[in-house]
Amino acid sequence: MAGKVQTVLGPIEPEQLGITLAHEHLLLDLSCFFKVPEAASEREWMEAPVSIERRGTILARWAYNRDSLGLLDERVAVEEVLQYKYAGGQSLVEATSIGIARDPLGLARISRATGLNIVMGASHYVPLAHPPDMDKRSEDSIFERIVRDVTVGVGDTGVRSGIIGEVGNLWPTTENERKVLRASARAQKETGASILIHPGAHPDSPLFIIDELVKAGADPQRVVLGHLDIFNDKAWAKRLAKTGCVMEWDNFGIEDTNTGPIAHQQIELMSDVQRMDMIQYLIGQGYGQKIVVSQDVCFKFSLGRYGGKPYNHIMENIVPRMRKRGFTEKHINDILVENPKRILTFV
Amino acid sequence: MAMQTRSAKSTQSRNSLPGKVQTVLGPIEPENLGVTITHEHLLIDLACYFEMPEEASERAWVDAPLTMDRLGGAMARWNYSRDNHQLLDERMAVKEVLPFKLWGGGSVVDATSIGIARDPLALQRISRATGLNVIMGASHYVPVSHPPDMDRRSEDSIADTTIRDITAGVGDTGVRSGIIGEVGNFWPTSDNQLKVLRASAHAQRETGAPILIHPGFHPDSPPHIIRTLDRAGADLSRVIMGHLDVFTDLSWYRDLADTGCMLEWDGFGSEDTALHAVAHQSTEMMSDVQRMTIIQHLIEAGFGGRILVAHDVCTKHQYRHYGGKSFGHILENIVPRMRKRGFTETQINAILVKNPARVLTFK
Repeated sequence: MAGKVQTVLGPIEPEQLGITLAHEHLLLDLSCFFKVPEAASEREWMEAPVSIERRGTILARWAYNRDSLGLLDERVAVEEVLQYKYAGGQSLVEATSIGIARDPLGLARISRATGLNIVMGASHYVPLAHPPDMDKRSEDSIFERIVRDVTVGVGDTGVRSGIIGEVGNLWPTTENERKVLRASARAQKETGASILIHPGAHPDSPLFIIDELVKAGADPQRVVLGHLDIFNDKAWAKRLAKTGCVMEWDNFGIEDTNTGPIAHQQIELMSDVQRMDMIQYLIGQGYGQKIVVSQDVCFKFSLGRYGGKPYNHIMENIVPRMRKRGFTEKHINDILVENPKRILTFV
Repeated sequence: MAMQTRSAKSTQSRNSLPGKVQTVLGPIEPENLGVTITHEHLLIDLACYFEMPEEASERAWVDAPLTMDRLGGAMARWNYSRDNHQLLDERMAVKEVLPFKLWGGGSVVDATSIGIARDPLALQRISRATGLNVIMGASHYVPVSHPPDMDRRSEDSIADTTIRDITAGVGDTGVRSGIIGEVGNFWPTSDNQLKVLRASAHAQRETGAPILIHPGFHPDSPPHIIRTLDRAGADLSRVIMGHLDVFTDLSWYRDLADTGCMLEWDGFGSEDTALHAVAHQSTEMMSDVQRMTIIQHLIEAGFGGRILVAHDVCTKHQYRHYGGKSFGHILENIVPRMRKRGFTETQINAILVKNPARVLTFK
C-alpha cells in the first residue's frame, strides 16, 4: 500500500484525491451517547422527530433526542453529499469507527453512487461505544483487528479501512482508551496508515494522547488531532503544533454555543470566524502544512434538509470567506488538497 | 371603550412622566418592569434591506418561503429572502414571546422605529394578550428606510414628530413611545443621519426619554454617534448603544464605556457568522460565548451598571417556529450559563432588571 491511498473501492493514486474533507460521517448511529434527561418536560424531546420548530434549541438536547443521533438513510446521504461534489469536492474521510455503526458496504455504494472517493475508518470510538467485553480484550487483539480491517477488509465485506480512527477519547483517559491508543499506534507501524483522534474535551487530553501514541511508536506527523474547535487558545494550539501532529478543525458550520455537554464534558464551540482566525494565526507561525478542515456531519440536524450546513459548507461559504480574509490560493490548496493527500498516502 | 382609553391618556400631562416608564398601555412604575429585554421586534418589515442578487440560482431564494431545508443558508442570504424579512403575523408573535414570559420575563422594548413598519395598536394587542409590558420606539431607522423626502425634512420637524410620538402618541392611535429608537445609522454618517441624531437628542431633552442607537458596523461609528449626541445636548447616561455584537476589541469598549453610555449586546442567540454584511458593511457576529466573555470583562472593569442584553429578533429565522432561539433564549439558556461562568445573582439582576429600569424611567 505504500504510496497509495486506500478508498472503499480500492487503492488509488494520491493525485486522484483532489479536494478532500478530513472528517465526515455519511452513515452512523450515535445512540451510545443517549441519556434520559431528568426533567419530565425535557423527556418529551426523546422521541420527537427533528423539526423546524425544534431546530433552534436542539443542540442543547442532542444527547437525548434519538432522531438527532442517527444518520441511517443512505439515499439521503447521497443527496446531501452530492452538494459537496457539485461545489467542487472530490474525496472525504468517513471517520465512523467501531461502536457507531460503521457500514463498509453502505460506504462502497455511496461512493459508486456519487463518484466521490471515500476513505473508511478503523479502531474504536469513545468508551461509551466500546463493546461490553472491552475490559477483557487485549491490546494485541485490538491491534490485530485494526490491521485486518486495513489489510484484508472489515469482516467478510472485503472493504478496507484507509485510516485508523476516529479513535475516541474522553477525559480523563481510562485504561481501555490507552489500550486502544497503543493498539492504534502499533497498527500504524504495521500498515503505514495515519491515525485520526477524537480527543477528550479538555486541553490536557490532546497532548496526553500524542504522548501516549508516540511512546507506543506512532509517527506524530501522521496523527491527525480532530475536534480542535473547542480549544480557543492560541498559545495552547502552538504547543500542540510543536508536537508535529496534524491539526484538524472539523466542526465548520456548527456555531451554536448552546451545545449540550459531551458525556458530561462541557464544551464551548468556536465560531467559523474564530476557526479561520486560529488557522490564519497558525499559518503565520509556519504550520500551514499541518492543517486540515471538515464539517464532521454526525447529527441529523447538520444535514441541509434539517436546517444544517452540511458537507458543502466549507466549499460554498468558507473558502470565499478565507479568500476575503487574505488566505492565499496556496494556503487553501494546502488545507484542502496537499495536507489531506500527504496524510492519507500510506507510508 | 378603546376611544375612551385613548382620550383619557391624551389628557395626561407631560409632567406625569418623570419617574415613570411609558408602555404601550400607559405609564407604569419602574418597579413593575421586572426582567426586561431592551431590543426586540415583535412585528417588523425589513424590506428596506432587500437587494436583488446577481446570480440566477440565488434568485430562487427571493420569493421562496423559509423552510427547514433553507435554514442553513438563510443567514448568508438574509437580505434577499423576502419571507425572512417579515414578521407580520401577530398571533405568531404572541406565541413566540410567551416563552419569555413563562421563563420569568416581564417587559420588552420593541425597538421598531419609523421605516420598518412600527405598529402601535398591534403592540397594544400583543401586550394585552401576553400580559407583558411593551415599550415602543420612535425616531427613524437606517437611511435605506428613510422617507423619500428625507433630504428636505428639517431637524425641527423630525424632533417634533418624535416628541409628539412620546407625548401625544403615534398618529391618532393614542399609543405613546417610551424610548427614542432604534435610531438607525450606517457608516460613514450621512447628513440625514446627523439630522436624525440631533433631532433625537433634542426630543430627549424635551421629553426625558432614553435613546436607543443602531450604530454603523464600523468601530468609528459608535464614538462618532456619541459625540454627535453629546454636542446636541443628549444625556449620555441615557443613551443605549446597541448591536455591540460586532465589536471584539476590549480597549475599544473601555473607551466607549468611559463616555457614560449604556452598552447593549442584543444579538444573543444569533451566532451564525455567515452574516458577513449588512447593507454592504462588513460584520462578523460574535458567539454567545464571546458576548458573555466581554460582558464579564466589563463587569470586572466596573461597568456592570451599564450593561443590557436582548435578542433583536427581527427576521423569521430567529423565531422558534422557524428554527431560531427567539425571545426566551436569554432566560432559558444564557442566564444558567452566566451562573456557570461565575456571574453573581447581583450582576445578573443588574443586567436584566436594574439597568433596564433605570434607563427606561423618564427623567
